[in-house]
Amino acid sequence: MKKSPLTLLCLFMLSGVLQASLSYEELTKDFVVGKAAVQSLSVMTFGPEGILFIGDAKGGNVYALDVNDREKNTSVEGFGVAGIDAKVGNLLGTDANGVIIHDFAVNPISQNVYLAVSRADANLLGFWKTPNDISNASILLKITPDGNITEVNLDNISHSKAVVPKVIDEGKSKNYRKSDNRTDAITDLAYHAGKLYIAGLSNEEFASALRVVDFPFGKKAQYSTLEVYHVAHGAYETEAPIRTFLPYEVDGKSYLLGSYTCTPFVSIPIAELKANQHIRSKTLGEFGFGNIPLDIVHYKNKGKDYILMSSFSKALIRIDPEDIPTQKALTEPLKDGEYAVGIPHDVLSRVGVTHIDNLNEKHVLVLQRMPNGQLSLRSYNTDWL
Amino acid sequence: MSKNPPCWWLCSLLCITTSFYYLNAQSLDPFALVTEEEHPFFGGLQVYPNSTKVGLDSFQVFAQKPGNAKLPMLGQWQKQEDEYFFLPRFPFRQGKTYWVRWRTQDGELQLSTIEIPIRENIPAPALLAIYPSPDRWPANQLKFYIQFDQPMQEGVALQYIQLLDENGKEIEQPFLEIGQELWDEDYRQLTVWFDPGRIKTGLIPNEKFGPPLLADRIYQLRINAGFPSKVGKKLSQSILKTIHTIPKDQERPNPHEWTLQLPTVGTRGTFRVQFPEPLDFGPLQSGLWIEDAAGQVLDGDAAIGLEERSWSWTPTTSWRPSVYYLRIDPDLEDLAGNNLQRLFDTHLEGSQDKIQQLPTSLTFQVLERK
Repeated sequence: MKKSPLTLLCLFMLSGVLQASLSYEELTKDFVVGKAAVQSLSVMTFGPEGILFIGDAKGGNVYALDVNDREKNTSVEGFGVAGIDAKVGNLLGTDANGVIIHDFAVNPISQNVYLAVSRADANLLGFWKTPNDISNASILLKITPDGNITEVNLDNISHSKAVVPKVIDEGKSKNYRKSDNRTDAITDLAYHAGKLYIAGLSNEEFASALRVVDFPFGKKAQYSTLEVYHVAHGAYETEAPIRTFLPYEVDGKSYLLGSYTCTPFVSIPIAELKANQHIRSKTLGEFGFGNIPLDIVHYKNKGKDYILMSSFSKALIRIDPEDIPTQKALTEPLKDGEYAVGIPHDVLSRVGVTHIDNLNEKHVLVLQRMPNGQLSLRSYNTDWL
Repeated sequence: MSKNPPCWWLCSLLCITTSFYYLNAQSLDPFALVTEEEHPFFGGLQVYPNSTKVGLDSFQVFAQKPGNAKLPMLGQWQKQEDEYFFLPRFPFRQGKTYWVRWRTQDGELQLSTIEIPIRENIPAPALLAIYPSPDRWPANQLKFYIQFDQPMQEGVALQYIQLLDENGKEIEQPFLEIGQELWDEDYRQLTVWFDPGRIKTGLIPNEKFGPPLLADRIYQLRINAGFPSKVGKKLSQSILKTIHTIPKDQERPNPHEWTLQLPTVGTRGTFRVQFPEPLDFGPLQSGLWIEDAAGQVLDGDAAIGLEERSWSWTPTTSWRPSVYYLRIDPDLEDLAGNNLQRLFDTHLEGSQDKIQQLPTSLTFQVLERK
């Protein structure tokens, strides 16, 4: 591809801004080739240079995998796989109900999709029974935009590992979903400016924790506990973990925008995340009880920024980030008859969507239960979101 | 053990028919499921390269009937010596039918199905008993029996059975090694003989190696963990039986020395016969029975008593005020293999005349009601 002098200038300036960011070689210099002993592919997200971060709740570790997938794909097209559950089922020698998809992540460089999968009974899933409640995902599959599906061999892969401090013990306590609390030891991950942020439950008195570890790994992870004002519950809570979050910049300040079960939407200034500190997040909105939030992404619709959130029991929720700075913190319980309060938000006409991720500039990829019962990977054009 | 030859015949016939059917089924398809748990590729498909091309492009397994862009199962090929195996990424599901698309050597595409059998969850085998059950065995003990709770694998027994002396040293080759192991019909009971050539005086093995057991010693019979069952499960722990040897038994079992315990007329009371010495468990299972005055074999439940020192029998109908017979198989043996007719360790020539005939029947009358 030819680059105009202007583009090159822009790239040069950009590289100046990102001077701190490391090269592929620098990022992976501590990686070892061998078995990545992941016990559960609980949650996944891509970092820089095609590095896939895995949150392993069962093992209490995070892994950085070099999936060796850095060929740039500049396509702005969407793609989809109808009946992805049946296709994965067939690959694993069973049918659509014999596999569970736990999470997916799109490699922003190649636009290849990575699925965390287990061979388990999908009939056991429910609104209050998440994939990680039922089984530990052990299979990492890679889907290319032409629909080809292959397995990523975790037995021989370039990777590095970091221990997540103070994860909640296994076999000690159960949550409201009747699952071991350990399944929520790591509920989400996000990479931002050389750091990996890891939400989940700790074994401390204030169980809800946010850990921050430098990447490349090496230093010990820093650890904070969280408190949220839960509007639907009318109380400050420290036991429930953040289910999903997104690093995002508002007015030049970096925040983590996140959401909890039943469904407060909060912001946490990244600058306030200090080692061994207890942090009270700002509750910006309440999106309705009876729901588990799943993923948050940022996208542009015709040049305008939006935040998009998916959940187990609600249609896609869209937030205008311009409303964030002006939104007052919610500190009062719901009044009778109230359901969703706080920051304005739209509920989009897209039902049955669970996990979402950015596919490319023009498309968001979603895992969606279709009206015919099929579970499909589908792309939605951001002009229509 | 079985007194029912026709049933046995039917079973064998069925077995033979099924195996023929199985062989036929195998020859139709160029692959077969590996069902032996011990096999390194257990649960995979063995693929016969004479019949089909081998490799992921030519041989594909589908969880559904292939077509409409159905994806083949993930799996890998393994080669062991000259045999090829397809190992699915995840085990085949029991009771499910899979489709196999393969290519003949001429390149022609073929489609076969294979149904994965449902495996019952068979536990590891357990050792139920060792007979003779007493701890005291004569130095010329002839054989013993090992009972398991499920059919066991044939042909490996002596790898798992050891005889140790007081110092824990293994006695070399104490047992008879013959090509065919002595299993009962359903492979649950094994008979192991001490080497008779070493027991019988005057034979070369006896003179060369001596008898396997000496009197007034302590031995340990060890059945080692790992003894495999028919389906490949293993005996989970070793079983030890301590044996104190007593002097050789050089006498035949003598029914004249037996004590009878008689039931009462009009009842279905148990008849019991007590032996002064333990008798061999094997022949004792079918070597005694009860007949009425007319010589009719009577129906009833027989049981072998503690340490094989007694035998009891409970009739299905009440005793009548009549004469009954306890019939005795002349092959009934004591622990040293001496039966009613002869001693195990004896020279047959010229000795027959001197041998006292022992009764093969004892007459008894049941007790009157008081």
